Parts: sequence; C-alpha cells; structure tokens
Amino acid sequence: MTPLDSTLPPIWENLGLLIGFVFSLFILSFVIRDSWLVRAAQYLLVGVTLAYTVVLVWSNVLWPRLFLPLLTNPLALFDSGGQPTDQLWVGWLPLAAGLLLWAAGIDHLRQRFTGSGQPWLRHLAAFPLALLVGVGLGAGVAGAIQGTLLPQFWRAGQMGESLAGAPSLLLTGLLTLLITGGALLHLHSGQATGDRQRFPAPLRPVLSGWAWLGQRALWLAAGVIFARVFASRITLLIARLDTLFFSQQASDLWRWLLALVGGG
Amino acid sequence: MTSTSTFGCPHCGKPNPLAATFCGACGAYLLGLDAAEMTRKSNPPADDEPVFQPRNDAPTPPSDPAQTQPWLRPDFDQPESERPDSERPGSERPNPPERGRPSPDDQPWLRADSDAQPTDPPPRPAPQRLVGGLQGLIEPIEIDQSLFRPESAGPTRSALDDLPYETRRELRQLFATDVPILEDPAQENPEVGLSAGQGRGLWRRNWIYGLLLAALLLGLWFANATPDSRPHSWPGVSAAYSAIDSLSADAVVLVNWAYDPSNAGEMDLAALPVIEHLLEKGARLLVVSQLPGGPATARRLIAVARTGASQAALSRQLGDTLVEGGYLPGGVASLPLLGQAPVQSVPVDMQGRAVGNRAAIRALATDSPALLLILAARSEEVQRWIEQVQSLDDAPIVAVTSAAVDPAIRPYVDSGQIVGLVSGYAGGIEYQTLMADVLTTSGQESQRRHITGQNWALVVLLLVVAVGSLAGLAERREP
Repeated sequence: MTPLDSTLPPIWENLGLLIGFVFSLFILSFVIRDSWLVRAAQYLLVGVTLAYTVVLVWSNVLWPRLFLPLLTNPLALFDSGGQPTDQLWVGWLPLAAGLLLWAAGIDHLRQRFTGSGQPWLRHLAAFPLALLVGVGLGAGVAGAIQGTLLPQFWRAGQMGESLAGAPSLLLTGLLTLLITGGALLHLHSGQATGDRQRFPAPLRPVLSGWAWLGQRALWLAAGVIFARVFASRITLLIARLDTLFFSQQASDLWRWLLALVGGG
Repeated sequence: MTSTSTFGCPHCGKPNPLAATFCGACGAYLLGLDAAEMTRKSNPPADDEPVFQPRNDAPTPPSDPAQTQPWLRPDFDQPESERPDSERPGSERPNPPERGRPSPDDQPWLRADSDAQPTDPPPRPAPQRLVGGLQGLIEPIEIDQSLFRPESAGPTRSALDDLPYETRRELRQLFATDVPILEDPAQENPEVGLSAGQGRGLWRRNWIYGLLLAALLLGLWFANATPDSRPHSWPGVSAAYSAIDSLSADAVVLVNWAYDPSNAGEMDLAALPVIEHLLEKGARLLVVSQLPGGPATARRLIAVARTGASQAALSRQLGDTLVEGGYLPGGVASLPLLGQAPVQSVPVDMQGRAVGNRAAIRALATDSPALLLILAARSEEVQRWIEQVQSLDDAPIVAVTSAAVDPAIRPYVDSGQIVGLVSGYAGGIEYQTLMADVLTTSGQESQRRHITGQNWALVVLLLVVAVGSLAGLAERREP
C-alpha cells in the first residue's frame, strides 16, 4: 500500500465505473441524435469539473500557500535588518491584489442590485489587472523570442551551411526553402489577394508556379495534421470502448450486468 | 412558396431544423421558443397577423447579431465603396434580407427594434465570446464590458470594418460554412438556397459516425492484428529512450503533467512506458501540472507504472522518488519562476506539506533538473515550457504528446530543442518495444485491439474519402 493507491472502498470503484459507463452511453447517443441525455451528461461533466477546480484551488493553492503561512506568522513583514521578508512579497501582496479584484466584483454586484452608484471600487481592480496582463504579456513575448523565434531562425540559417554536408541535408534545406517561400508567396500574393500584378511581367510565370507549389504544400500539411488528429481521436474512442467492453470484463460491474441480463 | 421547416436561432441567427432542440451552431436551447409560432412567422406574414414576440422565459435575443458579428452582415463581403451610406458601420438601418440568411422581416426577433417596448429595458448585447466556456460545452460567459469601459456609449466601429474587401470575404466564408447538425436545410428548405457545394452530403455524417463505430467495435471484438503488427514508427522515440536511459540514478526530472482525464485514453498509452522507464532508472520526479485535473491523473498513472516496474524500483521508498508538486496556477506568468527557482515555485506538495527537505528539491536548489519531461495533449503546453522554462534552465526536453500535437512541435525536434518525442499510441507502443518489456497476456490483447481498431478506422476513413471524392466529382460534372 503506497500513498498513490486508492483508498476508496471497492464498492465506490465499481460505482464510479458504472456511472462512467452510463454517461459514456449518454454522450455516444449523440450519434443517433442530439437530446437532453447528451446535454445532461455534458452539463454534469462541466459542473463537476468546475466544482473540483474550486476545491483544488482552495486545498492546493490558497490555503497551503497563502492563508496558512499568513495565519501562522502574520506580522513577519520585515527581518531584523529592516528588509522586506518573503512573507510580504508572496503573502501579503498577492492577498492585497486578490482583495482588490474582489472589490471590483463586489462593486459590480452592488450596482446590479442597487442600480446606481459611483463605480470607484471597480477602479481598484486596475492595479492587479494591469499586473496580471503586463506580466503575462511580458513573459509571453520574451519567451516567444528567446524560445521559438531565435532558435527557429537559427535552425533555418544552419540549413544554409549544409552545402558541405550530406546530400540529404542539402536536399532538406532546399526543400524547406522552396516550400516555405512558396507557401508565403501563395499566402501573400496568391489567389487570396490577387495582387500578383505588382510583380514584373517576366517574373509572373515563375512566381505563379512557386505559389502553386506553396499552395499544394499547404494542402499537404493540412492533410498531415488532419490524419494525426484523426488518429488521436480514434485512439481516444478505442480506449474508451476498450475500457468499457473489454478491460473491465472481470470487474464487478460486468458481473452485475451479466447477472442482471441473465436474471440471476 | 416558402418552406416552413427551418427557423433562425434567436441567439446567433443560424438556420436550424424545426425539430431541433438545440442550435446546431451555438448550442442555444430552442425548445423554450414557440416553434409553431416561429414557423408561421417564417412565412411572409399577413397584415392582420400579430407580430411575433419572444416569450419571456425564452433566451434573451440579441438586439442585432450583425452588430457583434460583422460577418453576419449581408454586405460584409462587399467593398466599402459599394455599400450604401446608411449601411456603413455605425448606421442603425436594419440589414436587407439575403438569400440563405434569416431576414429581419421573416424573423422579427432579429430586428433591432423588435424588443422596443415602452416598459421593457433595452435589449442586452449578445455575449462576447471572449470566454468560450469550458471545452465549448456551455454557453459563453457573458463578459460585462462596462467593468472595463464604464463610460463607453454609442455605436462602436469594429476593427473588421477596416480590413480590405478580400480579407472580409475570406473571413465571411470561414465563419459562414458551419454545417447544420442532423438535417440538411438545402433539402428541407430549398428557399434557403444552400448550393451543392455548401454542405450537401455532410448531413449524412451520422451514417459515417455509425459506420465508424461499427467498424471499431467489430475490430475490437475480433482483434485480428498479427502479433508482430506494429504501427508506423515516427522519428524521435529512440532518442527519447536514449535520453532517459542515460540518466544517472537519483537524477532529478521535472515533469509537466499537461493532460487530464479527457485525453487520458490516448496519453496514458504513450506516457506509461516512459514513466515506467524513469522509475526503473531510479529518477527523482518532481511533478507539477497547470491543469486542474492533472495532479490526479498523474497520481493514477504513476501508481499503475509502479505496479509494472521492477522489484528493484519498487523497493525504493516512494518519498525518495516522487514529489507531487500539485496544481500550479498562473498560466504562462508562473513558469519563469519554475525555470529559475523551482524550490520557490513549489513550496508545498499536494497534501500541503513543505517539500524543502525532500531530496529532489534540495538538488534543484543548486542544479538544474537533469531532464524536463512534458506530457501534453496540446502543443501550447509544450511551447510554453520550451519558451519559459527550458530557456532559463537549459535542461533537455523529452516530450510525450498526443498524435494531434506531433506536427506542431516537430520543428522543435528538428532544431534540437526537444531531444526526444513520443507521440500517440504508436509512439507508446514503439517505446514499449525499446524497453523490451514482456507484456502480460491482457496487455498484449489490449495492444492488439488498439492496432486493429486503428487499422479498421483508417479503412473506413479511406472509404469515406474515396466515396466523397467520387460524389464530388460526379456533382461537379452535372450541368
């Protein structure tokens, strides 16, 4: 017995399996038609997920990381040297920002019920919202540049150094250049925008051919993506069917169902 | 003569079959409306007939869907210069009827003034689709824009109005090709005027679903894949195996568990052999997840992997090998701290116990993790960790992903940012082969069922594509 093992009694395990089986059938009944069974299963799934998230955020984030440290030692704001402690930065500051957001929500509710009033409380939410958006955008943009744009450009540049490498590398590099250029050309000046006339007349047949190739490459890429998505979703369906009809045949659920069908 | 078997959804305006319970486009509940009344009003109304008014308990109709969804406007794909002045953005004149679209004359609830009653409050705007609900299953949350723009008033000009004509036309085509569910409006209502190329035949997709399901069940029931049958081998699996196999004992692996039960059916197949391998190697795992359902999914699969690991791996204390960091909220903003100082980012485990004295955390206080393992069902999760975590701690990444994610992150494998990639059930089976695991009889049967089911599904898909292509060719040759 490890901490990872389920502590639920077997009857609960079987009950969960039974409920999962029934609601899987509800969802699959969409094949026949859209009905309240499908919607009921979907709404229940959404509701349970939201409730679980609320409980998880409280038990895994808010209580152990915020409220418990603050309640344990609420006044440890500065150390003996007069410097701010971690308690101030990771305890009181997030709590204050959260309360400001709550103030905006309370003001919104107050206005809905009273119908009027000065919206001064909601302006308090500007600070935490600006902090959230600013930090998120800053981290996202900086990460995209240093984690995706620069490495991918660097990799594309390395293709140019493959002249002295193996022929297969050279071929890969040339194909990459050809297809990337063709796709960009098609998206920029293909049939979608129709402004190919801006190019000099002698170049137009070449550019048209290149854009034609780029268009086919885009179709091919879309086909590959579709094929992988199809494989992914079929795997999910097979796993569900396998669980319901094959892997659990030895479980109490199937024994109950077989006994029910067999009348004894 | 107008057919009476479809009506426009009062929520989004899309035509729906008369018997529909929910809107095929937006999912709005339609039974609360008086269908007979709506059908009658779909015909040109007689002068002495009363104008239809939605019932009070019906969903609140938008004042004018074209205001919030410009691509619904009939002149959306017309050049700006060809539009009448009164129909330019900001004008309050109702839109003229368009072929194939519900018109305000036929469906008065689409008119801006249909709800204008002296005692009623002004109609509320349609919900903004900033938050599309959870997995698209529920109605979008209604964002109160006044929270952010308290002083805003008057008509607003959409940014789409500034787009060039061709782009607007493309956008309109993009958003207007929703196929109806269950019924074919072109067949039910010729007046709607859908052309043969706009979804005809797609209404039969229930037959495709049924055929696919029947093929899968037959395949699972009579699993006939040969024992040596193996799915296609994708590059990156052997590199992932080598990266994990070269880990020293007690190496710290930071695991991002970025899938939950909704994708576990596929992801477990790929992740299980990798986790088993890590446990066999005696690696110390620090598992975090940015999905609410992630920690519980991780706990379940790690428990399964421990039962399949060797006795030597099982003899190790669980506390030495696993730190459950639990749920890590904050999205992308919380990841840089995880890359720079994971000790501060994960102060407690799932049970709320301090983890500062655990061996894995002590090791991370001075060194970067030996490996980043990303188990993700979406490509964004992989990209986030590459951009936010790996760029700060320079640890190698092994990604275990859904098959659908594979094409999107393959460039990161080519650039060397991901050292190994295991994607989909095919990757999982290949990884298991590399581990030379001896599967149990039930495991072999399950694996065979998956291979057979995939093969049958591919046959059905190819059949559908072939028949559909032939039908399309035949229709194109019709005069």
